[in-house]
Amino acid sequence: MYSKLIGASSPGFFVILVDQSGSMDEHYGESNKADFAALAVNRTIYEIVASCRKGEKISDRCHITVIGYGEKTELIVGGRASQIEKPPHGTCPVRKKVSDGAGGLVDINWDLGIWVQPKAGNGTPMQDAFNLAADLVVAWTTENPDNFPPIVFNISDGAPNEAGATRAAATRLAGLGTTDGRVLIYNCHIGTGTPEIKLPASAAALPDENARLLFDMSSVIPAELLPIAQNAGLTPQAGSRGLIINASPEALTKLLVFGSGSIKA
Amino acid sequence: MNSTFRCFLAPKQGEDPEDCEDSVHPEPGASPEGAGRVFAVSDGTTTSFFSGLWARILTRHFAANPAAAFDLVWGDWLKDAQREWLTEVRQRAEAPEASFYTRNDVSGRRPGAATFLGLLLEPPNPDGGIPWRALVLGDSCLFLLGKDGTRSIALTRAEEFSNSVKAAESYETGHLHQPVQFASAPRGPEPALLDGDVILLATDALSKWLLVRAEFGQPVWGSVLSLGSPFEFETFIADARREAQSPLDNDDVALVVLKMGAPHQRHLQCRFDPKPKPQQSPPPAVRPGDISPASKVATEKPLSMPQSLTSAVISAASWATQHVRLIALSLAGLLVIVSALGWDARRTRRNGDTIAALNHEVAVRTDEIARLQEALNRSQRQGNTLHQEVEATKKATERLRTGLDQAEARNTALTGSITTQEEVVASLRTNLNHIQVQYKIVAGKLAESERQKTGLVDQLKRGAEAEKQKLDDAKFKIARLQADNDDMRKAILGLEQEIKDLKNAPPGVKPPTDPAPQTRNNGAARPQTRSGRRGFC
Repeated sequence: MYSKLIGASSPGFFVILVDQSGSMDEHYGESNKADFAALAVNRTIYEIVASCRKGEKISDRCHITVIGYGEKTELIVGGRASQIEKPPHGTCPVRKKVSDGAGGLVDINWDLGIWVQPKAGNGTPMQDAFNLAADLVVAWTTENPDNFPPIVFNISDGAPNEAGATRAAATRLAGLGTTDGRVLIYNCHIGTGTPEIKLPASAAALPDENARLLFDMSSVIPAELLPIAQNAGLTPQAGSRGLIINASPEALTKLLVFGSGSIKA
Repeated sequence: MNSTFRCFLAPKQGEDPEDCEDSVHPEPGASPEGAGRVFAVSDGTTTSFFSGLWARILTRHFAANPAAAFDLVWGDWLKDAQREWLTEVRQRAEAPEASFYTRNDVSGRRPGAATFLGLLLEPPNPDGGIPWRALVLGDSCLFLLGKDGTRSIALTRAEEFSNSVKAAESYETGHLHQPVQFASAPRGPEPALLDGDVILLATDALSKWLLVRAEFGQPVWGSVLSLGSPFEFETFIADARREAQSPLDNDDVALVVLKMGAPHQRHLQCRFDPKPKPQQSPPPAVRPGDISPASKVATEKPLSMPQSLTSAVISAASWATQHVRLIALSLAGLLVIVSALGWDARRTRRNGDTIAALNHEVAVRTDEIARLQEALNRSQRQGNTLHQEVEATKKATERLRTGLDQAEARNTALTGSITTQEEVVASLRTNLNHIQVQYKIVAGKLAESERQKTGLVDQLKRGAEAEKQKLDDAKFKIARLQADNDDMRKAILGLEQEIKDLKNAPPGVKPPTDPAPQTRNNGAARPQTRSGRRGFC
């Protein structure tokens, strides 16, 4: 299980759900939560697409979908790697620190593709996002029954509008899959509260009902993928779930790097 | 001991050969005989940057100076290859058509990464054995098929393969992975190669599958050893990928088969018996403008037959023409000879026998000329027939070509149409999803507003009832106050009357000491309220 290689003849499927509710306007890191969530998602898409490149060519090794939920629930990005290779909102220059190969870091100019723009407004219809993701996963797994199963990220800062409906939608989504395994759902609660809890194996230490709901809706990380989590800088244990509570920007980035790491196998 | 080798390379299923990110040395198709003594395979990790190029540079670099890879510090040996790789990718990043991904990756020092396995054969020992040494970095494996059994280096079990692998990187990244050295005596404990021994070098996917087959008690060494042509190799790999149980992973494959003479019989007997899945997966979708090699063969084959027929017809026509010339020349020559000889006979009359003989020969030659003329006529008729066939074939070819062009045009149009339809379907699906989502949101809002409306009506009803109750209470209070007011007015009138009476009373009459109780006790003076209570305001 979870061993099928992702390739052009057996592509993978990555779904990213982004909370765009009003509370995402709150301060977070150096900006606000919406800005950082968009930045993290754009970097993740960039890395996935870059991983599909062979020199100057691109190989359709995966399908990518981004669903935003807030004022409305909508598909923001969707398609094969070659279809979304060109960012719809262009690129923006950023400064990035990279290793100089001698133990130090150097600043470089870098162009980041813009697929998702920051947005914050209204409530948190998380159940709609999970249901839409489930519909897409059903269609995709029908066409790709033996591939590496879809991976779904959910980035949110708060409680869903309807906890019961959200739990039901997530349960439906988690029940889908391929012959290589069930859908993997990784939840990231971004926030400035304490403590930060990464990849918990138990719900005992979770602070409230919302955190426990996210725990219940998160997949246990398969043993086959634990080395990828470790490579991403996380420290999973047996039974760890793909969940971070009160995630810092660094932790959110690590979870996304881990989740998208299956394409790099 | 004659050594032979064969090298093979295959891309992932569904990908083009030029997209293969594995590399092998010598190149596939190199001479299988002779003094090859340097062999290498490298597996460019799929998602690293220009990893196929890096894998090719590594194997080429090793082939150019294999001893240095063993003698130098690994990091130093890599430097020349890293420089070559960097020069090439920088050129590509500076090209006008380079994408921002490539520019980012070059400026961001994103490395190419590749596993590596290099093998160097040494000159033979006095006893005929061939010493060897190998460098292994990552999960490519070396298999030794000896007289007594098989052995794999460096991974020995299928379960040892994982998604995390050590690799050589095209930059100095500060975490250099070191290769492991293996060697026969005197440098190491491995056996030197003897007559009948075989070495296989394979990248990860095939290495893992070979181990799986051996672990299941179904080794396939014999089939690997019998691989000859690239076609046989591709068939073998395709069958392995279709296996129902533990199929070969869909990854690039590089393989070197190095035989020291004829392989041992025990390995040759281990044949691969394919057992594919009952339902095979459909062939990869054809992209717009993409024609598979198979379809090319199918479209080109009908054209080759008319072409060969045309050649035959032209050859026959040429033969007939040449013979006509020969026959004509022969006839003219004979007539000259006969004329000369006849004139000489008439003049001398001494060579009658000769003339008779010559006349006979002329007759014979005339018959022959007649036969040849007939043959010529036949040839001409045949030539005409063939010419007609040529013309007919040309027309058929033209028709086929036209049909093919039309079919290709239709195919292109259909492919475009299919793509458009797919895009339309995708767009409609997206719109449908949007509409479904919007419908859910609107339905939710409608339900919420219904709930709010019901709540407001209830609230207004309750408010109206409360206001009515307040109005009733106020009316009641007013009635009570009016009653009290009447009481008070009557009391005042009573008191005024008492005062008048007192004023009018004759001096010495004592006024009553407590007139109020008498007045209050007069029930006609103060009416009771409806509640029977008084003075609560």
